[in-house]
Amino acid sequence: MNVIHVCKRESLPLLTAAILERRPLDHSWFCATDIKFDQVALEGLLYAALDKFHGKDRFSKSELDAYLAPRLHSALRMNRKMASDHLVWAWVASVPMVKFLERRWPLSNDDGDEKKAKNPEWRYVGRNLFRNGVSRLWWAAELLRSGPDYRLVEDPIKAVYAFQFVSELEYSWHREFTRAFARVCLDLDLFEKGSEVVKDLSKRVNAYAKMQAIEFADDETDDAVNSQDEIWLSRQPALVELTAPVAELVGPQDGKSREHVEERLYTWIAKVATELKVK
Amino acid sequence: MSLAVRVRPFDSFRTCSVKFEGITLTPAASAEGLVSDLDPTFGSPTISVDSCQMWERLTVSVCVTIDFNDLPDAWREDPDSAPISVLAVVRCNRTKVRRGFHLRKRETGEWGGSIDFYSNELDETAEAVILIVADKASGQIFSGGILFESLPLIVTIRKTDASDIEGGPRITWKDFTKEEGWLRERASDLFYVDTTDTPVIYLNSSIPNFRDLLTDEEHPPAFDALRIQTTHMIAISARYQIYVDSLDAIAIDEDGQVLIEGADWKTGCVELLAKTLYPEMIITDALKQCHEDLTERHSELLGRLLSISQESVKLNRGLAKCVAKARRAGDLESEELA
Repeated sequence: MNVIHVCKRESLPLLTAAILERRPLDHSWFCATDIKFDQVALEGLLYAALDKFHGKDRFSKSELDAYLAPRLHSALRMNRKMASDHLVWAWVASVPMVKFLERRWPLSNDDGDEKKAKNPEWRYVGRNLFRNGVSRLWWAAELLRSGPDYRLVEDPIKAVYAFQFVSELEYSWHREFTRAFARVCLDLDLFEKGSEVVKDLSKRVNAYAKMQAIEFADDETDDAVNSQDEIWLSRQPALVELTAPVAELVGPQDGKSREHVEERLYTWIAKVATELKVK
Repeated sequence: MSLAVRVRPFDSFRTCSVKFEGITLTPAASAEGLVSDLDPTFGSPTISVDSCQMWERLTVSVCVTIDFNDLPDAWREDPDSAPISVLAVVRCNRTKVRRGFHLRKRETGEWGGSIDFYSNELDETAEAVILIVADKASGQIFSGGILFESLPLIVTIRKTDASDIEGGPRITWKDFTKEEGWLRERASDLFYVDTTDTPVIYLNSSIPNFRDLLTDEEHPPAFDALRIQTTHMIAISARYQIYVDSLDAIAIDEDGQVLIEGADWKTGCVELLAKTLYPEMIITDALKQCHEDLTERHSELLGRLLSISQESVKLNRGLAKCVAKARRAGDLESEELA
């Protein structure tokens, strides 16, 4: 068992330089938090994922992202406040998940036909949670899960660029709205039709959301929705749990999507999709 | 860490108003003194909550009054039947929170309810806006359409001390004179480091101007220097004490392997200490060396720790000089003004 660390703010430039120059990292750049995680299980998950999706084409990378997202969320158990700190993700990306980063965004052209990634430092130490190589996956799972249920997480993440438009707009912060949007895209095969189609729908619903309160469907929020699931947070999953099919993966009880709210928003988004003549 | 809530009025439309009826913290903690000014007609009032109060939820009760003269004619004639709802929407950019609450209708033209801010899901800045929305379509207005939107009520969470997430000791302001037991006995001290559990640095708020000195950024340069010196002195002293108190966690098992026993926080501390003292060694050897130093009462370890202590003393002296300079500067300024 190990604890999640955080990069010291003043050490971030040193960490960035070391990553780009591929020099060893200094442990004094990081501080320990009191949040535990199972390093062996996380490493096991990572190797299982890299083994399963070992191709270097875009398809394999998307599949790798989709596989890892809900499982990383389950392996790195923290609340949103902590997960919003880019200094936590700087450590996660540079230390326990560095093999994934090296595969996903190579720092050099040494690796056969692999091209050097553009701006790889964003993926390691960037402030944007949806650009950091690991936090983007964790946050995608957080925004798309419904309580303990991660089943909706994988498919939208496979459409990497499409999901990026969605995740960077404010409407994606509303759990039921994001889920409804993803379901509309899946039901209409929009993710298959390409990122531009998703982008068009996303832009349109975003414009409407400025005039129409997407929270209108929200009703009384009981404390159970907001109270964080302390038991889940304190328990560390074994590797066998992390590598199970996504339907068997268990997330926290908090943050459940209210089905009637999600359905109402689904209907609304599907109606907007018809304006685009997307069939 | 403190939480500040700034509320701006509905200045985009003059006939609706929001009034703040109260603030509560859960678990129950005194909200007294948190509110400097909650009347939105006077600009941006502020609520400050120390993180050490261990609050989980901050609830702001609001009352929204709508003047129906601003609404469509058809609704104005029978205000009670007007198909409108009033929503409070909480958003946080950092933690991607977006959630609405319907306020309850109380009487004609008046809605009330609570806006909840949860400490575990907010960071840096959050905001709440009041929306007046149409319940159903009417003419050019569509169901759910926003009729009015208030300017945001802004919640700013400022990190003014070592945060828990950065792994530093918790820092808590306490009025030592009002405490029972060991803190009261130290009523004249600036601070006290408690290492009985995860370390906590208690700062004494009963010392005049001490809190302002450390937290208020609007000081003249002389006070800035004083603040830096004071902060360093506290940090170095606390670090020294925490290191010393964590050393007893090192043990050697029957096979001669290093063990670290005791509270979790001591593990990180002794490792860092061992690495700092013996950078040329691998960590297990460095820990073993620390253990030998302790058991053999080796002078080197104590000597190295003493040098940290002396650094603290030097800073303490520097601090005293700064205080003197600051006072002299203040006196000169007073003379000039006179």
